[in-house]
Amino acid sequence: MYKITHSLLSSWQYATSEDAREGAFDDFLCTLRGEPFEPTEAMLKGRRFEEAVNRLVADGAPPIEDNDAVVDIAKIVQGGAPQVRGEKGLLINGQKFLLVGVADYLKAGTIYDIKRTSRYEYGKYQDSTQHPAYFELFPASAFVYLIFDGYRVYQETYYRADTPSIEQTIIQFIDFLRASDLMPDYIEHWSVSDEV
Amino acid sequence: MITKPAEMDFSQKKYVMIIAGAPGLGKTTLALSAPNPFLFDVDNGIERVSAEHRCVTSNVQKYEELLADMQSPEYNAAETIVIDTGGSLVQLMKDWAKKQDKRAATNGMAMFGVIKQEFDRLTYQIRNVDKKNTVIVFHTTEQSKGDNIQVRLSCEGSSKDIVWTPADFGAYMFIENGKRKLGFSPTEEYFAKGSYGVHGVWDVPDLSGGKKNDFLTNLFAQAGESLVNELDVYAKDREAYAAAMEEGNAILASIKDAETATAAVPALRDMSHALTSKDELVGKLRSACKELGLTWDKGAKAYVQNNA
Repeated sequence: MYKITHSLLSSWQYATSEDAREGAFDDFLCTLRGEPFEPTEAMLKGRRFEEAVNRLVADGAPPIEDNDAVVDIAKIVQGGAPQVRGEKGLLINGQKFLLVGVADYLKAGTIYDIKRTSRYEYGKYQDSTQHPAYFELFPASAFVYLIFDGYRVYQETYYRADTPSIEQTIIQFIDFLRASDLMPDYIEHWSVSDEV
Repeated sequence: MITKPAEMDFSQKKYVMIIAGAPGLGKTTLALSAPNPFLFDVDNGIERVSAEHRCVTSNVQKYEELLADMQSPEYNAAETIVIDTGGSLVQLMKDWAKKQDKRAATNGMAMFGVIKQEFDRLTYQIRNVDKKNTVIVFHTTEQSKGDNIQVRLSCEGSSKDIVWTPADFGAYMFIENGKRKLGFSPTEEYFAKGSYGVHGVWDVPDLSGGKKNDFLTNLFAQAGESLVNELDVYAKDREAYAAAMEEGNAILASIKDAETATAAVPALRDMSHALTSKDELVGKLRSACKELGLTWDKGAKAYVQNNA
């Protein structure tokens, strides 16, 4: 059985897209091979922002920066369960996969994911692999991206009924790995016991 | 004010809708099919609407005139405010914005910042203060993304990004096999937004032969019914969810050590769940165990103290 995550699919999707920045394919290879890589400033900013929301929700700790946005998002996710891990076995074309993901917040049938981005344009997450993957993991009817671009908070909502299955993306990913001779790397680093 | 789900009343709900599409498809006429509309014709398009489908219209040359018309009895009497188009409204706001802020007078970015803020305020006022439906019409523009061409709202600056958050519906209008269609679900080609049972692609009725222009009136009514029905169905789920969370939280509250944590596992597994209660409670169980320094021993099928 092979483990698969939205982060891996997303890294591959971005690395093979036309607007990929230089080095994106190397980052994907690092993710595929389980090698650590230096987080970018944008990633660190994102983590700091999410941690500020989590601290406010959990302990009422006031944010140090981006106060209004942190408070706005905390109000939305308050009462939900933070960092909920989901796992689900999938059988695709005879191959077993273990889909794994962690929801930032899960609350009454809705998955919330916090994004800190430097530039936002509506529909940014339309092609993301995250909501299709997470709809597979959790019995939620809606997935809400809570986005902060440094100025204001936006919401992008996707519904289960409108969301394609993650299966097709996984098939394309495996086809790509086979065509690029990267399947051995995937097998080496992402194989997990069937008993998980 | 705290309201329980069973006590929620959506009968007076007002809707916010975006209609986007190429010129000449009949977007304005469609927008005017909403209940008792008042049109801000910023794009000077009312003459292209058949006479029988026109409504009270404000034609303005300056944004200040638009704000003044929002004080009129005609505006107050309307149930729906149609802005045609959102892109032209942003253009109209430019001169006004330059007068509001010294930096906006000389700096384009600052000017669009003021416009974005005002666009947000204006739509908030129509929706939440004046309590009217809002329909904003947009032309579209195409952009390439990989091998695909994506259709996006045509609007200078980033005001187009803020209209989606409060929108209940965002529909893309297009022609397929000679018929006009409205897409409410996002696709690779366009972004869209549906809710309250309104999803997928809908046919736009042909208005020839004097047919009544009431598509959006019916759509809003249908959405209202779905909202009530959804509430009935969801109320049961919510009730079961609330009960499950209460029961589950009581189990979690009993966790003090490895023994009580282990006992909580079958208790959480075997109880009745609804919506995402199981995943939420299991998530909370894991967090609680982590805080207590407990880890799951697969062999023993029990939680054990990390330093034990």
